[in-house]
Amino acid sequence: MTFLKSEKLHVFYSIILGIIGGLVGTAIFGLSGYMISLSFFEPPFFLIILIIAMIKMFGLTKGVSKYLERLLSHDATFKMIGRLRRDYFKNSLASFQDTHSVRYIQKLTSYFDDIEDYYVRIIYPYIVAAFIALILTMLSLIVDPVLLLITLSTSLFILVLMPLVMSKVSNKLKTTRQMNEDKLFDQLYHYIFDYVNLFVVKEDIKTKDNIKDSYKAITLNENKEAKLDLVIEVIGLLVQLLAMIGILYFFRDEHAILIPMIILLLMSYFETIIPVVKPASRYFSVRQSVQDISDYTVMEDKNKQTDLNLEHITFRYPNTKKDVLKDISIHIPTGEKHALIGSSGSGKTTLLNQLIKISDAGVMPQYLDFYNATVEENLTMFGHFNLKDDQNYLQDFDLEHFSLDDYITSNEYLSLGEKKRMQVIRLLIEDKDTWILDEPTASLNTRLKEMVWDILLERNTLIVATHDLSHLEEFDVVHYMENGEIVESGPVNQILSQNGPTKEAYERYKDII
Amino acid sequence: MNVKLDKKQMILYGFIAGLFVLSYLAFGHYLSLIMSTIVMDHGNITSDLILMTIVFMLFVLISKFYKYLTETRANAAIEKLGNQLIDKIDVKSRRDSETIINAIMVHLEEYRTFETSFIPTIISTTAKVVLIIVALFFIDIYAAVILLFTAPFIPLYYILVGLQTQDESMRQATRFDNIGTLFLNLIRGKDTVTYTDSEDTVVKRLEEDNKGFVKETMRILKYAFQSSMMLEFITILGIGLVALEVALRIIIFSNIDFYTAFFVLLLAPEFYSSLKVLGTEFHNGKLALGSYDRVKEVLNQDTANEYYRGTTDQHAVEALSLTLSHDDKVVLNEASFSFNKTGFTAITGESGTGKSTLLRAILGLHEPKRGQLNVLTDDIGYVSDQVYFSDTSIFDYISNQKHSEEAVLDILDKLKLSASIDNLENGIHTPIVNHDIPLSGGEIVRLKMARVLIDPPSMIIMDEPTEFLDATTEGLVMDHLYELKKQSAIIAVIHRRQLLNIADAHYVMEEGQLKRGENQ
Repeated sequence: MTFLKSEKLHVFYSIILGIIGGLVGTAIFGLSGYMISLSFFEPPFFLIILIIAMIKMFGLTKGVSKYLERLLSHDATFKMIGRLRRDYFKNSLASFQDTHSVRYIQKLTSYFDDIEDYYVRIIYPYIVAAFIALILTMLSLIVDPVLLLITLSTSLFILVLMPLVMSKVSNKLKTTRQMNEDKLFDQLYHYIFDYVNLFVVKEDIKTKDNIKDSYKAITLNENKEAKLDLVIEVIGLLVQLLAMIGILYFFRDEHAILIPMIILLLMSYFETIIPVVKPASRYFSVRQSVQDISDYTVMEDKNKQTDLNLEHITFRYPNTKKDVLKDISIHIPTGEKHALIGSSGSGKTTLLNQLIKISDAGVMPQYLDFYNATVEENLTMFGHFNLKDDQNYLQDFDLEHFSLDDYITSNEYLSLGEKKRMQVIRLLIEDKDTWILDEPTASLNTRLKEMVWDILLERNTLIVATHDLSHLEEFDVVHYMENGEIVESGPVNQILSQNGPTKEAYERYKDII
Repeated sequence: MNVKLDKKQMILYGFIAGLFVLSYLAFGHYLSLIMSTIVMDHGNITSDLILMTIVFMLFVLISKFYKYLTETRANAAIEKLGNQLIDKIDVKSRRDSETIINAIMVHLEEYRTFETSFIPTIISTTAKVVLIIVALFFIDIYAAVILLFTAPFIPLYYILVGLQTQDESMRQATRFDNIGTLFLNLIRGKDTVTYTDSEDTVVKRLEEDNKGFVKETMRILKYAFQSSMMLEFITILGIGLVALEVALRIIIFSNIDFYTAFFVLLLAPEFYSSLKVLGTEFHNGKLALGSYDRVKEVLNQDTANEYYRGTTDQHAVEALSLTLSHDDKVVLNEASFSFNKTGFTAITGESGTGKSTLLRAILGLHEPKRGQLNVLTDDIGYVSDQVYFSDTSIFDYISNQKHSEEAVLDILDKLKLSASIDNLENGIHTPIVNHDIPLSGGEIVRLKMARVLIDPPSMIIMDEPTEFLDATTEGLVMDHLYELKKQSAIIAVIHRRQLLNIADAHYVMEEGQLKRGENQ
């Protein structure tokens, strides 16, 4: 529990309170059982009143301790999760992990749910149940060594043996669940993003049926989960039955008057420990994912260059079967404007990302990131940069339908064209000397395109990957990429005067109707 | 609760729940008999012990069977909803793919507990409360009266205090979601944070948000926890009263036997704890229903109708007063036209005029607003520079399970694709999962061309077919198109003049009409 640092004291108190609450809760049952037996043997009346008063006192104690325990444990959990999130975010900043996939985010959410579970539903209730078991077992020695034997063996069986045995099944169910969900996600993604093609080649129905099969697998796994619950609860209750029969049988003469108390105590005790088995059986698998999230690999710090130079770079995305960059070398000195052109999928974006890693530039990446915060917070990166009062960027970029206080609720709140313009505003506010941009003018109308080009070409150093060749002649150097290689590269006027792919592409561009 | 419950199912669940509550009552009966024998008469308990064992086992079996049955049936219901969501996926889903993927994988999961736990628990707990109170009227009418008298305090308390905080706690739950999203949003958008070097500012913001959230949430939770503490007090008041009543009747009035006393004190706590369960389940149920609303939103969306095209044997495509709209913008208004059964039909127009919408309509993926659209055949080839391959291979894609390896290799060679595919470990048989072979736009166009060439359909739709191909490859593709158009209808949206050279008909899309273009 290394992550329970500052909340330790809260956790400690809430465990103590949990034990007190659990014990007095169980004691209420015992007391009422004892009261009945006692009543029939003509006790002094004040004794009965005393017991009833104690029951009430215990009830009050239970209520208060549960209340405090919940306050403390929730406060501790929320703070812990807040801290873990911050740490996770900091770590992820230092890594090159691509975090744009929906599935990545979904998995992250479920990891954090696991962490919440780990403490609130697994460790904490188990510790409380174990302490109650310990105390009751010790108390049972006062009554009879045989009773000690019964409580000890049933407690060990339910709190130790069962979780250990079930943990294998539980682990398998969790792994299967994860696999099923990954598969479902991949299939859904494929189906949604290739819908047109699948429809045209008449494979849409088949693909959909496959997805439904995957969903069926999820249902089957859920049903197995229900079966596991069934087995755990049936076994737990049968053990309870055995313990009851044993007590009734062995102590019917010796401890007759105590039997109602013991039986009621036992029933209440089992009600506390049986629900702990299932979560406890998940301990190992959940601990694994909690560790997974703490063991985030951090990449070394990038060393930023102003004079950008890459030599013999070969790059392949993880889990793919083809290099997207093949032995590429490129040099971009300060003060030059470079254009990167070539067909889609030729490796422009990948090369740009390699350049971004080594540079200290203002960047317009392929994925434009916006956060659920106000427009102003998004533009200034939560106040990291200052927005000058006299500049009305939103109006300049035809974005007057937004005000700075508008809240961006989700990534889909802005259209692609709006995102591009907001990103340009960000770059202007940030005001770096070098800009690196991926398709800056896509999804903009002609007027805005011109405006954006004007702004870009004012920069000292500029690197742009683009399909829009309208301002190609205003660049200093052009690189033509094809299948992960730079096939042509040089000063723009020189390249355009020779017959090569760049000139060809430029002619074609001008041929557009 | 805006979820429709099946009456038949409710009755079945209620019946089974009734059965196991009755067996629990029988267990209580025999246990009380045994207690009475042990404490008072010191008689033989064997037969009662056997009977108690039997009814307890019966209780265990029926109640756990009930749980299993309700859970598996709930899972089946969830699967049905899941399948309905999957059926909602259509050509439009790409635009808000996250909404639909999250509906299936996140919100439906969050709703699952409503079906698996909430509904069965509400039914069984209601059965328990009712049957216990009825049984107590026969066992000890005074205790029954006490329970009946104190019980309304619990719902009353919920109404007075609980509901007030409920709205607030729902809002807070949404806020928790929002902060969760800010965190997830920041993780997703971490690159921009890195690029702008704004880590410190952003982390501070994240911390502040969380601090504010913890403070607010704890304030709300305090109310919630206070109300459960009050419930605890009401419960203990009730149990204490019952205990007092029992004690008084034993000692002062001596008009109650041990059996009754024990039975009453066994059932009273069960009764109260059931009421408490009802309270908390209602709260959880409300939260789960929030997720159901998100699922419902997707289910209520219109799905594209794929069966609107008529047939014609006169033309490749025939439109009669066709009106097409895209995002509420009319792109074709009452247009009538027809494309020939063979030859190259070129369509041009400025971006945003709806050329792609027209192609989709012909493909069967965009239902017209009004008018009739007839096509020659359903067997249409489609060439574009976009694809997402998965669970296939280049060979499977091109051969369509009809052609030999030689034929496929031959066609790849003709389109100069062999070189880039030979690099792959198993060549054309390399399995592709999740598009793990990066392909350039030009390669995709040629792969799609290959599929069309190996088995030429009578109609071919092309969307910007030769953008960014180099001159040689473009020449190649055009040669093939020239051959293809002799027997098939090629309908292509083009952006470059060059392709007009092989066009037999040219249309320009503008102002909601399809007008004859130049070269004609």
